[in-house]
Amino acid sequence: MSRPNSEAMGDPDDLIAQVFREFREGLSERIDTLARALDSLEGGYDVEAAELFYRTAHSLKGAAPSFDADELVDSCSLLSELGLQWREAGFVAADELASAAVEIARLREAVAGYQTRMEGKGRRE
Amino acid sequence: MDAPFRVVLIDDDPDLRKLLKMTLEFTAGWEVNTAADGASGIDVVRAVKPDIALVDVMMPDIDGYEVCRRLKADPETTEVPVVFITARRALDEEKVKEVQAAGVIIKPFDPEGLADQLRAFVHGEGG
Repeated sequence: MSRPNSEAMGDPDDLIAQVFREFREGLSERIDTLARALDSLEGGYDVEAAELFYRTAHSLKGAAPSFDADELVDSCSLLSELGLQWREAGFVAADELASAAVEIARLREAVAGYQTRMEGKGRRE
Repeated sequence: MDAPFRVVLIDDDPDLRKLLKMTLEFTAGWEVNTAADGASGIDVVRAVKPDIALVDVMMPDIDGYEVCRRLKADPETTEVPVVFITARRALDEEKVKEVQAAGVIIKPFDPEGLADQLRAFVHGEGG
């Protein structure tokens, strides 16, 4: 199996472990982005906030399985669907905002569980 | 040894882009160019003329199906095989055929087997 300039680039396993670590470390910021977008929408419909909410949830939903983070997918799917609905409807109902807040809290718990699990594993296997 | 493939990877998630790029570079020694959205991805494909374009389906603005349509409609890029990478629940098999994609990789991808899967699609062996 050929490796391009592996000595110059470093150990591949270490570099891929670093990408996994960056994903883990970036999860809080992704969720904070969702929470900030939701706060904005609670103040009144804002198309940019709806778009940011949708894109953030959708992106995390797509990336999670490849980082062994399946436990995040269900919450991200629900949040992504809400965001898409808001973007297309141009309107956010109060009960939907409440559902989104609950789901973000669930996502934070799922992230905490994932981070604990992955830190317990150490390097990516 | 085969010459290394040149790949253009189009995916809006920065972490996934990094992971896919590193995987192909380290497991197969391929040259990987990346883009974060469909429009700039099309520009990169035109500039690089890669052996394969690996395209996320569910992207904001221009989705992967539209990227493939535009690449197939352009004489300069019509020969570039387009392989989608997507979650199974997001896959529309009719659209995959309609836009003449060469194949689909379902997330999560197999890091050890990804290059072989892509090579098979390029040679018309995958499915």
